[in-house]
Amino acid sequence: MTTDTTTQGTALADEIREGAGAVVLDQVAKSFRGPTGVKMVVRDLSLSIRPGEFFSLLGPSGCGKTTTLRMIAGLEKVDSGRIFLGGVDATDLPAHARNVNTVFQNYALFPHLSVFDNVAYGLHRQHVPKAELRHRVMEALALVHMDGFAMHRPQQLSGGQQQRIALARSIVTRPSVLLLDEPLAALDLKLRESMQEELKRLQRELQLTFVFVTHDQAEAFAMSDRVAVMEGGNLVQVGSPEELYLRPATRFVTTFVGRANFIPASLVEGFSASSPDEVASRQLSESPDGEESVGAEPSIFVRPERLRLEIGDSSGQIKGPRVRGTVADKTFSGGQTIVRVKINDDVELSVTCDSASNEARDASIGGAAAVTWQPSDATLLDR
Amino acid sequence: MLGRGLRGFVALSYVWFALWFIAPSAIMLIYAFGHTAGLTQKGLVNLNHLGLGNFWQALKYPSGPVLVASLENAVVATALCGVIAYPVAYFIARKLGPRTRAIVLLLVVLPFWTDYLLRMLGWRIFLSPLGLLYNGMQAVGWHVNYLSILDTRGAVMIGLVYNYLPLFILPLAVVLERIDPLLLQAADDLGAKPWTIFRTITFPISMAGVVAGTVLVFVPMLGDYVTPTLMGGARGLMIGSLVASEFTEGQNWSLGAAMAILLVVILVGIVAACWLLATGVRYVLARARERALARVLVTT
Repeated sequence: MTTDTTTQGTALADEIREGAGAVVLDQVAKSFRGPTGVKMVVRDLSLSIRPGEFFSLLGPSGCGKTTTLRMIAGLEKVDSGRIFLGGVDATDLPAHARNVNTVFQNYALFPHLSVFDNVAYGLHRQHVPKAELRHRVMEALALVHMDGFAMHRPQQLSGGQQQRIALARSIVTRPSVLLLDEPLAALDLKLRESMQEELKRLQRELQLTFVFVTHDQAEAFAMSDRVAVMEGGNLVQVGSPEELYLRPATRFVTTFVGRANFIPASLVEGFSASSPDEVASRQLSESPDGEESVGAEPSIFVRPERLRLEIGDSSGQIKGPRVRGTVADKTFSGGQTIVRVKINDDVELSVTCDSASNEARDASIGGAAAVTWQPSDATLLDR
Repeated sequence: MLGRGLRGFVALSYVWFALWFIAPSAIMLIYAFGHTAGLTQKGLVNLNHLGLGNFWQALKYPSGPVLVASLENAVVATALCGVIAYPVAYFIARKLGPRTRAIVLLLVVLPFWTDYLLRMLGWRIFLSPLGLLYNGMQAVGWHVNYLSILDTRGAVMIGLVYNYLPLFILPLAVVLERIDPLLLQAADDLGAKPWTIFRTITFPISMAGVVAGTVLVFVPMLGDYVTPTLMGGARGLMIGSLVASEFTEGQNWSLGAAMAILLVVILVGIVAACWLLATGVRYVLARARERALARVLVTT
């Protein structure tokens, strides 16, 4: 059966590759009328998703990511702007006329139909001949390893199994784009991780455009080619996971995609900035992002794993900005230990150390410590 | 699990049920096998010689044909209720906002707040030969000498549908309202046009409400005797009217009891037959599908 599955999978993949899976949103806006008045949910959103790309919409709840997905699906009408699917203007097409399928957050399996009939639903709508329909349904079920469950009812299946059926149901009709609305949110951690791999495998095999909505940054990073971060109905930044993590555009992106340290600073002369520590102020002149005017008060942003810890009064061999404080907290989390160093009443820095290192071992709460970093690892952001 | 007080309360409800439902039913069952006591004998029913005579009597004229007519009435009126209730329930559940929905549902049950007899008399006035409906028809230029609806089976039908319609609308509206809108969106997403969505998703899921409404309406309808008496007169007799008259005017309790038992047996029989048929059909279809799938699995 396993060898069968792969050959069937590639057969399916060949046919899907023919469809153009490009999604383009041009100045799309959407508002809802609520009890408190009209609420803008998506503002002038422009986005271009490449064919065959694993693309994630990432943001906190209420940022408009699900609404964006539903507008691509045609389940929500746009107020203004255009949506192009495969190069064709699909703005005014109803959902059933778009070659785009959705995997819903709660799966939305039809309770009165068997697993087989659930998966066959879209094929019936396309009037696929009976023999081919049976073959394709079983092929899709095999692809998600659920071919033994054809005659079950959705209610008899676990959450993870229902998830697979929902997936099979939406890929069996060979859409050009698959939209996934937090499909893993209801699964427990173990299952979620294995489903992440499963989804990546499917996307690779089928060469399908995946648009994946999630509020989980780790999930988005683990799976996506590119991620769009949304906040309050606005698109904040689009880029690869690496770009978002290493070169976040705003403070929101910085904190949303990972742990971050912010050190208040002020620009004193030219392109140099001063931090609470004098040494730092001189070294920071090497920092590349220095377009602020003198007197501005930006923040220096460094990721915890780019900071280095020095315990005690050791002056330190490492050159670079250095701030001193006391160890406020130490959290062991397996391979890494997170040490929090209190600089003053307002600033506390998180430093990630190797749990086996001397620093991690020697750091004791209340003890003196210093924190250093390479200027090239620091970025200036508006406070 | 239940508190001591609550458990006592539940037990009380069983006692209540036994006292006022099981016991009377049992008495009826015993009476049905007896025969009417002679004028000089004590009591209403003589239980010395039990037999099936009353049941044979119940199947003969006049109660036999009336029983058949009652079944016809109940089947047709239930079907009419269903046909009228479905679009109404659909409209209430799907097309109205939560607040208007509550108001309209209230309007549906509002007639129940008025006395039953008053409502039926209202219909009599409305349908009477030279009554309101007659005047209305005259006014719009539809001329007839007089209306002959009242005291016919047609009038009974109107009365039955009118009285039981809310019982069909309510469960159906509840089931329709509970259908997850995401299911309809999923169907839309998979390429189904609005009518196809209704045919393949909404209607099949709402069958639970249709079945509930049918049972809720059909069962009491078959035994109804007030509506046929008030609306149908002598020509609109239903079996319930005959049972009632055997207990009152006829003073033949054992025959009345036999008719009542027969009615219950027929009702249970119909419901059981429908259920068996439905499960049987479903089973056969599932097996056929499984065999077909097994062939697919073998060939691929």
